[in-house]
Amino acid sequence: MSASPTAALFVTCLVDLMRPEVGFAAARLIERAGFQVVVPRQGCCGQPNYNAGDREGARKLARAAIAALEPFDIIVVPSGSCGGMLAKHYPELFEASDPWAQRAIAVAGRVQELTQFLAAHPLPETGKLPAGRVAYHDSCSSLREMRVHDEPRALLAAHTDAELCKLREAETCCGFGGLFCVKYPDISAHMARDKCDAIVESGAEMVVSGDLGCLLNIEGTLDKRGSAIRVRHIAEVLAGDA
Amino acid sequence: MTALDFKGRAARAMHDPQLSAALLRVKSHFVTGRNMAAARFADFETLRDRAAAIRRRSIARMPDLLERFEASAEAAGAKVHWAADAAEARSIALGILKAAGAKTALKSKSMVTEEIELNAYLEAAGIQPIETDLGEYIVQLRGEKPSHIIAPAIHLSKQDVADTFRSHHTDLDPERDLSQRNTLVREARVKLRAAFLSADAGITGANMLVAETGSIVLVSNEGNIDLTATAPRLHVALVGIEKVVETWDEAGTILRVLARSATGQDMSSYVTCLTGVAGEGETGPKESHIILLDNGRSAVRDTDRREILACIRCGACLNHCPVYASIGGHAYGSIYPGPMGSVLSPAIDGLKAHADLPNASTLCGRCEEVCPVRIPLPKLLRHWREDGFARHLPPRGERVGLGLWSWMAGRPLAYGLSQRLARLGLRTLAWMQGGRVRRLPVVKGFTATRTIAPPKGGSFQARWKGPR
Amino acid sequence: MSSRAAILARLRAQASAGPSAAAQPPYRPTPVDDLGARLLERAKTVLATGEAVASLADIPAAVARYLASHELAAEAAVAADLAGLSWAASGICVLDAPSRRSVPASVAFAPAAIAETGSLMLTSREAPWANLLADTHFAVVRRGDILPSLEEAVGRIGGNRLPRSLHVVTGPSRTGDIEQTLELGAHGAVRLHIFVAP
Repeated sequence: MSASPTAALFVTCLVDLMRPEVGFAAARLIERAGFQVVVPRQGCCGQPNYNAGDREGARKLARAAIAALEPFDIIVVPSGSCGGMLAKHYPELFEASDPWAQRAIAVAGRVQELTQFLAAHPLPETGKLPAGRVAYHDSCSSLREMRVHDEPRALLAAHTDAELCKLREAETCCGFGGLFCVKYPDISAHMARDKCDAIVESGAEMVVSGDLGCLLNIEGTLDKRGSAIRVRHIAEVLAGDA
Repeated sequence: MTALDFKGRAARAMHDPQLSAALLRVKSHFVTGRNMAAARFADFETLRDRAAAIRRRSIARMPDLLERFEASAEAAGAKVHWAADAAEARSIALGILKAAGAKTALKSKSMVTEEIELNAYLEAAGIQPIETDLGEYIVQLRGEKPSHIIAPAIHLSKQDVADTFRSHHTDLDPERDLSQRNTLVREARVKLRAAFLSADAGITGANMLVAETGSIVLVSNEGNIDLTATAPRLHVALVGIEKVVETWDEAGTILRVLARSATGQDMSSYVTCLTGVAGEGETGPKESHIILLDNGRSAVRDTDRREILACIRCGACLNHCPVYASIGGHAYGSIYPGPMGSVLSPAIDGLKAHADLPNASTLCGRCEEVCPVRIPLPKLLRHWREDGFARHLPPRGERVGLGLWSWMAGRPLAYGLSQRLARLGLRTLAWMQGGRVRRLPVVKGFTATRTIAPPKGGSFQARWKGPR
Repeated sequence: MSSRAAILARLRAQASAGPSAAAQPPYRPTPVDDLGARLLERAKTVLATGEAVASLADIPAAVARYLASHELAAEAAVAADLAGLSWAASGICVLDAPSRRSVPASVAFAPAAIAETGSLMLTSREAPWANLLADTHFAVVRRGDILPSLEEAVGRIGGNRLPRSLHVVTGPSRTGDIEQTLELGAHGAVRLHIFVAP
């Protein structure tokens, strides 16, 4: 057995379902950073239920996720949104008297968003990957819950030839919002339209983000417009799959 | 105003190009102004921490501070009234005006008077309310409601204002040039000046109640509050009970975060502080009443949404909200729009009247990031969703779906099966629809403006074979 | 039960309303050496103007210069405690303020000013209407009446009892209510000029 340290990959159900290639890219990056990747059996972190007001349903899912993740010292999530659920909301999910509360807090403290993890555990030098003109979209939960901002930009600068385009209103939500885009599709579409306008104006050839929800929203909107701008997860770009 | 058709109002608003242009100005003016004001101040984050602590301390000590405020204000000669709800507040206000024989009442911009719909009530009783804030004056002439808590006429263009003035100021030359903003401002100034010097009463709200001296503090940029509260012989203030602070030192800190967060000014142009009644040799009314309004506030204090009572109504959460920027204020169906409104309005009118509001947010968190008193608005919105879920307010399909998901997504076999079915479904749809999913069944809205690339191969977990 | 009693009883019964945060230390701006200079510097940022004068006697000529440079009529309402200055000699026609409350220009002492924000404090003790209604407001403030902060100005003016109204005026009246675009002179002064006097 290898003596390298172990990191658990919480792949997120959206990646699991829609874009498994993002999960494989993330796993390769974690391995290249010198870690052995373990993927514990996993379902959903419970965020859809939590944000819909179904706290009991969220607890049910959280208990399963906590049990799966608590053996690991490092838990890497290729999503600020699911990462934020684990790191920021799990500690508030259970009543203080509930024995799960302490376990939730323990797991929360070990969660790292993928680019946070890669910033702390650098990848070996491998020459610059081609990326071209890139607009980086900060997902709201990466930015505000996980406090990720500089890490993905630094990684792109270190490992790719990406030329970052200035994105107007970069800190404004793209309109995905989980169930929001299903419950309020008109408002969501309006916000996505504004975001895609800004992306087109930026002159970017590729939009990169750390959250698949935003990416599906942006990619779907750009495709409907007939735009040729590519939309990729940061893991794919750094792994050379973009 | 009905709150039954939030989605319909929102859709209409998003198809209004003039409103969209107006909402762009909110971003360019208020957002930029707030950022610059925060950057100019040496340590704005610490100031926000202090303001947040002051407001929470005030909420925790509310009953004591209100009693102290009442004692101080009455010692200075004002009369304090307590109103449990909108109806009682209206009736107290009308009683005071009638007893004083008032026929006209100046009004400064007050969200509480909008909340209790005071104007219509006074008009029905034969008392003419005259809004003196320019934006409120414009929306009053148009028979509209304000669409922003600090910029009531933000939804209107200069041309709308010109048309409104031309049709209402019929004593003036109908051919006059109203193409310039400063001409419009001047016309309103002259029109309202006459009212200031002749009205019987002045009605204001208040930004704060200062318990130690029984004073009320108000802010404006036009100077209309100073005149409204001092020129007539009678002054009536309507104030939510949550507005109390203990000391002037506390009030000073709140004022410093308020203007910076609202308009990006270091201080509002006019801060008006009113204490009791005019004494011997003083200018001002000899009769002054302060109506303290509950209207759901004490009840929300007993819930996990109590922090909304810390709100100082700066409007920063509206200005930074991407949903507000899309749909504007009127679509909310409440006079308190935006994130703070989506938490406060259900506390005032009940969740059933505003069931959409806590849900119509992506919880992006930008509101909390700029709130000068650090109200965790996304968390409070989520608490309303929990309240609604417990009361079975969301549609049955949504509740069943969430229940199914929480059962399934924690069970590996069921979860794996659901993933396989979903992938099969998406691939079949994409195959039928030319390579990408262009029309989803059930959640049709998502694919109205988007397509979906179908997933390739098996799910991640099905294909993951462990470390290589 | 009265609404007062009911509201207070309900609030008192709410043990869950959370612990009281600690009292905050009062905020005070960083001290500056010259409060008069600070006041004028801050006032300029809010589109007021101002100047220091060597003595009160210099004010009528300064008012005349200001009005002439803005092509305004050489007339102003003058508060009683400044009426003794030589207005006529500077060509200023002194208007009778009480008879017409709206005046084109007004000259009066501000009993206090706030250096931090470039603000003036007017009070109900000095009949502030002329100043609130004038198109052009000339405010005279003595150096000793300039205080670092709002809180200190309230303390100075308040003493044992606050006046019925305090008006903290920071720059000319303004509105952004039409298309979010700044226009001066909504209801109060269109122009505000401050004299800092010894």
